[in-house]
Amino acid sequence: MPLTDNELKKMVKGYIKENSPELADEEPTISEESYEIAEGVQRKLGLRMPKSTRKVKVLTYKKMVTAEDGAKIPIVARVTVDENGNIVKTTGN
Amino acid sequence: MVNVSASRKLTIDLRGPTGQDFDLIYFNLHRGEDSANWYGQEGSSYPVAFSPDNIKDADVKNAVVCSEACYGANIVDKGVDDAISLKFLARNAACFVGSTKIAYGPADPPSTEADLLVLKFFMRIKEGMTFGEAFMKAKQDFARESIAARGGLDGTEEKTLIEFVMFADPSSKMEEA
Repeated sequence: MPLTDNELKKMVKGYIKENSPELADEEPTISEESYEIAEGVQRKLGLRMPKSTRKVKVLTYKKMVTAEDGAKIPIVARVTVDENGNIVKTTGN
Repeated sequence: MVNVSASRKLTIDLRGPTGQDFDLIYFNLHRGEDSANWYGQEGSSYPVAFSPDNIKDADVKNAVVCSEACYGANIVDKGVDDAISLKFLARNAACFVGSTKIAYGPADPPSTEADLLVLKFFMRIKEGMTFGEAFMKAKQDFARESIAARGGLDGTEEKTLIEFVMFADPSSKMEEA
């Protein structure tokens, strides 16, 4: 049975707390992604790739922070988990 | 090459220790969509790390500049005093590569997203390709390597391919620019 959003959030919470503490109190958005690219992009790149059936969930934590001069800058962390809740990729800005 | 990945405010002398100009300049900083400056990060503090003023008197002629800052190449409604990308070009840098939107990268190796694309671009430039060819090949290299690693491109990898742009004469090479 697939993990619920709440279960996913609980599983990723420790990672966010440790690696992006400034985002620990943010509520993530959760989306499903598959590893594929549009036909047009493939053509532009001169690549052919098979259609992927692998689906993952991506938890995106985002907030706007204020820099020392008052500018607003985005801080984002994205955590990708597989169907078992294992973190398979992390990225941020 | 000078690598600017800073947490504190910098005063950067864009000349090498022996007086020669740097030819490759790399930034890994933050930027907001409408801010003129680029920022470091120290905990929850975001100090100004680099501003257009830092290059107002710098000799960056023919330099190749890559920035991984979010919005590093956003020039919508911007002039030379509120976009570092345009300031570099106004100071006769040969090439500027940056992102028009939020740019992503890993906290730890291996390189992915912006880190990987910039790495591939520098490698192609070093091979002597024109800026245009190097940028196109870097994107192809990036796509191939990302697909090999995960069997496809995810959302941030696809966005990286699309949002990174180059401002340069595409037919120029680093040594000819």
